[in-house]
Amino acid sequence: MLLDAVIIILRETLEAGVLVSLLLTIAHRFHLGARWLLFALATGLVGAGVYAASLATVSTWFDDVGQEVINAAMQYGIYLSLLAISLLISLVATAKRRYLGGFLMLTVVLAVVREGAEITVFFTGYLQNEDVLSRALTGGFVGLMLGLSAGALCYYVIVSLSPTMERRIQHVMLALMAAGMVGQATQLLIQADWLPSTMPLWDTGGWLSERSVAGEIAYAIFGYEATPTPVEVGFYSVALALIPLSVLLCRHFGFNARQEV
Amino acid sequence: MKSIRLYLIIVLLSTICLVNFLAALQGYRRSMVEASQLLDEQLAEDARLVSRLAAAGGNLPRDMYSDSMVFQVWQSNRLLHRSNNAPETSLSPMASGYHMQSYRGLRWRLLVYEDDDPQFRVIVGQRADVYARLVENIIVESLLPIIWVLPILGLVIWLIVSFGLSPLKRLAVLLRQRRAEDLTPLDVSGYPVELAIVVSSTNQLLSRLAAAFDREKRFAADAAHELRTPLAALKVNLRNLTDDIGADNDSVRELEASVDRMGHSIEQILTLYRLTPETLHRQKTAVDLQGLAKKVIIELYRNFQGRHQDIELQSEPVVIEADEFALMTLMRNLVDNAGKYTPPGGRVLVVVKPEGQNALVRVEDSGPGIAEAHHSRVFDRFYRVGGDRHDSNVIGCGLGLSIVDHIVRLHQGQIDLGRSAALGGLAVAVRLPLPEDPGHQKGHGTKKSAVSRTEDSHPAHGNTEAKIANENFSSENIPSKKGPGTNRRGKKERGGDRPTKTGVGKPSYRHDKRRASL
Repeated sequence: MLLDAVIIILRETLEAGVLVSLLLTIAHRFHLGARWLLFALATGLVGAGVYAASLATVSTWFDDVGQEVINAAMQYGIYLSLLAISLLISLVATAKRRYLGGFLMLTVVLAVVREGAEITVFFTGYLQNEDVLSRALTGGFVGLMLGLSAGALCYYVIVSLSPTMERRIQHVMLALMAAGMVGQATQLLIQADWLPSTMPLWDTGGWLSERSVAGEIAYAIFGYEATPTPVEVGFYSVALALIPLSVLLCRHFGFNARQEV
Repeated sequence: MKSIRLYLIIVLLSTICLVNFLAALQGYRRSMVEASQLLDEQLAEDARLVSRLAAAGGNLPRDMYSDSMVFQVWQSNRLLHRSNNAPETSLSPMASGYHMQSYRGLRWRLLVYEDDDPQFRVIVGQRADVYARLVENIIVESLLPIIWVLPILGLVIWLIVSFGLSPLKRLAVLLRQRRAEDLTPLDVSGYPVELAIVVSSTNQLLSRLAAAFDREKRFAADAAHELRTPLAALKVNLRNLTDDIGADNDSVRELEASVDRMGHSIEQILTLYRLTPETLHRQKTAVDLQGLAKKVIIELYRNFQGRHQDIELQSEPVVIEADEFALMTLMRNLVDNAGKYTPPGGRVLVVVKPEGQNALVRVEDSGPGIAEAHHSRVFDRFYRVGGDRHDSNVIGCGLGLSIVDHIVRLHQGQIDLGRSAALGGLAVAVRLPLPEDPGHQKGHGTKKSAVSRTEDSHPAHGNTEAKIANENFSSENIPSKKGPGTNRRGKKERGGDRPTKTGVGKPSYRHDKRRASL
């Protein structure tokens, strides 16, 4: 129970923590402050509460796979938002900074709604059992602190880099995390039988277990999956390649009013 | 990184959390493995005991074990003995070894024990969750102190970081409280090694700065002597030359203009070097800006008269803490500039009044003004609009506004250029902070009330100007060099006479509203 709680909460908060810290470094680079984050977190938490309360209804949608489909839709939404952020920080002039703030907020809101709803559902399942609940809460707290600590350290590591290195790390992490979102969403659609389920292409579970801390970190950063199917690998690869390709195409077609700040 | 303190607290707490909780997780995993081995050993012991009891042919008590344990004794496919909580069917496959099975909705760890007789098998089992819970409880008990201590740890880190940063804070306070003119070295003692380097470097910088200021002061003093004396001699010789060959000679006139220009430039440069922060702090006194404005206008009045210009002062009493010489220079430069760059017959308006937390000095003219493109540059030293092709035909060296800007900065004020709404020319607005002690203004406030009453007796003037003393200067109200007795303004006031402006080129006295006599 304790380990389950740690793993589940760590999985959610580590991913959200690393994502938010990455977005904060972008906001820091473009002098956007942190007020947007407070607003996004508040909106996301309210959204998570509403979504968790409605999950019973949502689950019945689309032939009882509503939760998987809606979660997948949110993941794809995060991917598109991260794609927009990649384009904005690569190409447009500082005059368009307000759009960047909007996409940063949208990403955080979607991430918090999805992760927050799952955490809420996990804990409400143990509300009646006090003994289990206390262990689940302890485990959850440990997972939460691990995720937040990793996020905080990630933020300070990135902002302490040289500007050039900081930009490179941001671009690479944005692309990897965005592709990871697509990988997770695809997995959900496979679970919902919206996409075909086939034999895994490989199994790296023996080398890096998904349930280990290292596996969780890999999952949070680039959506590590020990036994991916060909469909997942295909979607992941396309999503990963699309981000640098979009940046290159936009530059090629003249949207290159880049103005570093 | 916005704050070193915040950075250290967050990074240290995050690192402690990561290390502690990862260590706890590792401990948890190891404990679970140990517990599993312990459970297996316990099961083996129990199985041997049950096997021996059954082999001895004795009756095994069916309820001797708690609900968390089950056993069955099988011979071939016949159940010989079982605990009360065990089913009559086999709990697990008959293969020897450990198995995990679900029974009654719970997970059980089972051992199929085979003694010497292969037909004789003992199955013993224990609930797996009991051991897991036991281990988890131990881990939770060890984790809780770490969790509870986190806020205390945060507080302790905050205190330690604050203590560690205190020398830096002390140094910052010391530097912030230093007067601008204080260039003495900082005391190096009491600082840790890391900061001692910074303090030592700062001292070197201060020392170089002090030497540079000394050089500058010596230059100003030397230049004052070395330039003014020959210039005075030059002027005397020029006067003699004029007497000898006549004033109508073009070369002499040009020579006179050049000498005047040189004299003006030297005085402006010397003024600039005299206005240093250290002298300013020493010489700060309560300065009456209204009185100062009048003095400057009187001083420069002959220039305005010579150009047939009309100068007007709208003022309220306002007193600030400042260097009187510096403010006199500021006011003189502004008023003189306005006169010089306004065509003959034009108008100049000087406004002095309190405005919020500031004292406002605004000088407006009806001249051509300065294009907005030049606003940012006119404060540069030796910059003149149009450069060498400046077509105003007035003596200038491009230092006037630079000096004004310098004085405004020294007094933590603000200067703005714009277009005069009333006269159409340049408007220069200087705002200087009023002293925090309102007592400076009290005496003048009484005067202001008295004036307001006087103003009430002039219904011709609207409320807009009700608080402002409006004075238009003429030769009649300017004291002559012979003495103040020639000033006849008071006489005119008493008579209720209200002279009007008789036209450009003939400045007249207009006592629209007046509080103080010149």
